[in-house]
Amino acid sequence: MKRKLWQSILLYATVIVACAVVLFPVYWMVVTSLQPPGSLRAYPPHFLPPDPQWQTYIRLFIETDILRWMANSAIVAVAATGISMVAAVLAGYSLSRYQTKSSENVGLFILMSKMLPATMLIIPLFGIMRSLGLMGSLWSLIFAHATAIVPFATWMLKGYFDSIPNELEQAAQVDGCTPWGALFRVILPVAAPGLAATSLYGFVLSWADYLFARTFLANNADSWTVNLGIATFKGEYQTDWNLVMAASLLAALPIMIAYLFLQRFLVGGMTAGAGK
Amino acid sequence: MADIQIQNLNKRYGTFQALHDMSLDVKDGEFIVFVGPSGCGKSTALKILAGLEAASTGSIIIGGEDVTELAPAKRDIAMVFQNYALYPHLTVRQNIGFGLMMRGTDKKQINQRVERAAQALEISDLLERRPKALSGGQRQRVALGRAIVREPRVFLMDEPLSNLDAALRVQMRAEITALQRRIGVTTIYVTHDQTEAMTMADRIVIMRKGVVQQIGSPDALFNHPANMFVAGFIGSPAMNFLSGKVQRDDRGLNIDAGGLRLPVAEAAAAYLGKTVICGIRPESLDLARGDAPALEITPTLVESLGTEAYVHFKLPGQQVATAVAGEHEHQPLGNGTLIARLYDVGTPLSGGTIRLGLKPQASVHLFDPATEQAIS
Ligand SMILES: Nc1ncnc2c1ncn2[C@@H]1O[C@H](COP(=O)(O)OP(=O)(O)OP(=O)(O)O)[C@@H](O)[C@H]1O
Ligand SMILES: [Mg+2]
Repeated sequence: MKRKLWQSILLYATVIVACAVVLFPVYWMVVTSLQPPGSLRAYPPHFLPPDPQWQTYIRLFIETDILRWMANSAIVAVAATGISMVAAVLAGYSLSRYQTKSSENVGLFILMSKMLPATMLIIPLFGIMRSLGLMGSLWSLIFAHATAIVPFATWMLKGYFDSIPNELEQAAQVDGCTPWGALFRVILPVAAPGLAATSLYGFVLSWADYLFARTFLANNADSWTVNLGIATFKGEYQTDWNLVMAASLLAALPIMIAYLFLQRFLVGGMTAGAGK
Repeated sequence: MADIQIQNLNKRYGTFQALHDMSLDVKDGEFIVFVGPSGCGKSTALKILAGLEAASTGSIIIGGEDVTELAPAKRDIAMVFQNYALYPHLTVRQNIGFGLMMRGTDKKQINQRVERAAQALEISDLLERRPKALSGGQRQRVALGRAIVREPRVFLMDEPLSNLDAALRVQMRAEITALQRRIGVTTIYVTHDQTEAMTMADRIVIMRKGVVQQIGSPDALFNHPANMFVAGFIGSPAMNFLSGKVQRDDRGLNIDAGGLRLPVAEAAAAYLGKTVICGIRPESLDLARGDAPALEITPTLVESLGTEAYVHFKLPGQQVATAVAGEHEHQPLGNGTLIARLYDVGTPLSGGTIRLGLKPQASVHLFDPATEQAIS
């Protein structure tokens, strides 16, 4: 079907407006990071910094521990996502395939923890981490994030597994696989887009966390995550907003990279061609 | 290659009994077809044979070995699924070779055997494609290839042709039969299409609501149906059912069914004076010649197919067909409509009345109205 001219104009106008709304804050972060702190409140605002201060980024690496914080964040996000995926794949698969009367209730029960606000979970988690002696250690954050990721990831994956016909693993079993073999050789490869989307969800959730990090790690500067570190730039009387913005942009980079990397899995049908 | 014994198989899902006490001996190399209406337990039986479902009670013996408790992987069977179940992430070559790979066959031999199977199925040029880039018929061939390449003891096929268009179905039907004859693997084939069953099977197992109704060759089922269900299911268009009283006159036992005198065998003597159900195949009726006793009918519909014509008509007081109607697609007429299948009609039949009689050699099947079992 061929679009009429006015339809095309409307379509592109909408897309451009939507992109502008979404991208403007990012753009503004870039602009702010390149200006001296004082000019933030300049009126009229500068949409293009007259004198870009690239050294802000260099200061970031020299004067702050941003690299260590990013490394900590990465360790936590990768480990929390990894642990969560193992649990969620097995839980989601069994909820999808081994349906018993109780599985429905178990499924809802898993989801319930997701319905509670994170601030409520943090108090019991605090107690648990302290008695495990994990306060200040990255492990506390890894486990805390896993508790937040697993419920939703389980449900996401259950949905993906539900959309894969049962006959696929039956065929694999007839072809000589054990039930585990069928899961690893057939179901997981077929569910790759779902695994990618779910991992990305977990990674972003962990990377973006401030609340848990603040609660468990605040006393140990060695294990600060990037969000925790950036928060310390905020002084009592004065804040270097250019530094905050530069650091935040840097912190957002891994997410963007992860997204680009996983993008090809996120689009496109996954079971296309299995059946009729 | 192996024979199969199914012994007193039962399958319950909760309180629902999907299979009742099924027993069957399959000879080595035989082509068995399970046929029956939707939901009668065909797929369930096949899945139990494959080991994908556990039997509630009963046992399965393949090649003399009790496999009832064996995992599917250890049974050395191959299965073609109703929806093909090709692995979407693998190429056609990998799909077909998957079973061999799982069994640790070496790479070179896998490639050889995959290519040989692909050649037999004429899909050699599709080997590097993925399933989503194949047509329905091609997917079906790949699914078959995946089964034959393993050279298993038994083939199980669950309605493999149900997703194909009519012309392709006829062609694949012949190909599968030829393939099975050539490699001689014991095969159990599931379908709800009686034409497929009649054309492909050495023996047919006809099922209804989890109960085996009759086991026999296509001819045996057609000529000697054990009950009204089998009689109505096998043959298309379906058998006509009329009710009538058994009586005796100077020419012997007969039944007066809606005005037509049907001579019947002495076996019906026990029912003298009682009402029975007579089954008459549409092809047993013909235009009456001369002044022989005949049914005067007014066609409600004439379907002309060129060489033959299906004449639909009703007889007052004859509503017997409803007894089994509606249970399957071959018995669609629940309103007591009867059908005559006439050849060489000559002048078009329309309007007016026509006179129908029974062909000289036609057989009349009798059924007990209470049990629906054949009287013989
Ligand atoms: N997992 C299950 N739980 C409960 N009931 C089931 C289950 N699987 C099958 N059934 C029931 O068992 C009966 C037989 O099912 P089956 O799949 O064997 O039918 P079928 O003869 O293959 O039918 P079709 O021609 O439609 O494929 C059906 O009534 C079905 O609803
Ligand atoms: Mg079925």
